[in-house]
Amino acid sequence: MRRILSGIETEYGLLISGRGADSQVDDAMALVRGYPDECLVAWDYRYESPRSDLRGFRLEKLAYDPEDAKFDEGKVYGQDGDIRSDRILPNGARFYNDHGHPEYSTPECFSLQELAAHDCAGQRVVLRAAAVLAKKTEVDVTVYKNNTDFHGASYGTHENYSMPRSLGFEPLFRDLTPMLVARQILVGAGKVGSETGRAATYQLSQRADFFSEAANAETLFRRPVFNTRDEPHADPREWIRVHVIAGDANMIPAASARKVGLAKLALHLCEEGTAPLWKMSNPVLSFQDISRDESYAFRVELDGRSWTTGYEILESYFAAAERTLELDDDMRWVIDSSRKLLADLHDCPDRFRRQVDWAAKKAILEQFMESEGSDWRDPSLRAYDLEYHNVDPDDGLHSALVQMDEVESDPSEEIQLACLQEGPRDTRAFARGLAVSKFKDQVLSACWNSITFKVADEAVEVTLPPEGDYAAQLKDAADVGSFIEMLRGIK
Amino acid sequence: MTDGDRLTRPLSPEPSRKLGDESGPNKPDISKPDGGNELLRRMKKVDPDQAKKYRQRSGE
Repeated sequence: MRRILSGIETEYGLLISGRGADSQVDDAMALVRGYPDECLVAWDYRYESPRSDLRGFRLEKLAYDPEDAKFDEGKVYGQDGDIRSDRILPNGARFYNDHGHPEYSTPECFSLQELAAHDCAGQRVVLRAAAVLAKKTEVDVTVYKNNTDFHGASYGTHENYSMPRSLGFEPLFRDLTPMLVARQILVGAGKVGSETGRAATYQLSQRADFFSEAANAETLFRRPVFNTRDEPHADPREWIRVHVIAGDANMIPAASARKVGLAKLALHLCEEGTAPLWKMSNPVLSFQDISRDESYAFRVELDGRSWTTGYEILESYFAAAERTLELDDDMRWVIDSSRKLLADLHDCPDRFRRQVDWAAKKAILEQFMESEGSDWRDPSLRAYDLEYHNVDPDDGLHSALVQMDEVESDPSEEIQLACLQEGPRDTRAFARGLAVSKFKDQVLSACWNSITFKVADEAVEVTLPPEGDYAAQLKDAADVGSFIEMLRGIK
Repeated sequence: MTDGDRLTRPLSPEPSRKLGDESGPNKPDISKPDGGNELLRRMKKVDPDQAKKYRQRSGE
């Protein structure tokens, strides 16, 4: 089975005493720019194409939220690169300001556990920068790893998967979308109430309210379940980057790993041509129905007046994978642990909530309601929902559950700190990170798919193939010339 | 929501349908984390109006 390179991008929420959404772009810029540890300021934007669509066309412009745009009235921010303030870190990660949110994009990983550890380590990066900003401005700076402000504004946690261009849009949309709709049962982060449409007391998904179309290239407004942005971050003749925007930010690392693993399972089946065929009558409504279903029946309407359930959709992927794929350890873990969790949802809720954010948070809220004699109409519940996602280990409610061994633990401090030192050794992120830590003065710019060095006053660009054989010996390169030669030898 | 048949398997190779029962799995009883301890200590510190004050720019 071909390994799938993947990464997670998380836009963090930002709350600064005395400041608001109207100053958030400036504040996120200041936060990112204050990052105190080793980094390189030289992001290369040439290969970004957010308006290109997998279906073979290019949008004239991206849609934006007219309410959100009011915050920018009369503002002059400067050049796009200055606003974004990109930092490239020694582990190959990207840290920048995305629409007023500090965003940490993990280095690319093949391994699920490694990716979950890098996602968790990213919280340390954002916290480090927040602490510097708090000290400089002498105000409290709080950072949240969630996807909603409960007032109708959402910000994303995206996943990226490098897949062969030869697959094309139709098979990817057909084979991945049912999984995106169903996997929230196991990996949703949970949310009090609703922000659009029908009322809800508690939802599985933070993002379900914000989807309005089955497929499109938008991300800021009119968001889709299946995003068609065509920005491959690799040779566009060979590669597609499947850009998933339907997932939530997970606090429990096992949920991060499972979220990516379930998507990979669908993508492996797509590549093999053996994915189960589900014809959902309306993926947007099904996503929202599952998110709001407090009976946990998770019914999904299908074409032709048929219906199924989220459980059966998930099991169909597991069965197809067992029948047609040579499963590696990651995919075996995804299937086995997901089946156990689905059984635990009904048989052992205590075990279920150890690995599932929506259930862990719901238990906190129920404890609060019981102690206060209140119910789901209590407006303060959203404050406790929000604080579940506070990434400060001394304040956040999720980290309290970790301390109490009520949820699965985070990777050890040693592992997280190692994640920040260098990228995964079998990926191109390892090479990008080494360029930052060893040859920073010779790097003109870098991005996901290439590094441009300065050699004898000449710009020398080296591409980083996503499936290249990035050997540990890269670390031994004595000078930039030999580093470039070693990179050029990677196929 | 239709009253159609329930599909328990995907549509491959031929659509297979069977009559479904309308009863989904029961809602589980998710019990609460025990102990007052660290969680309760932190919950007491939470400003109940925190979410009301929390306004964000729309991101991606």
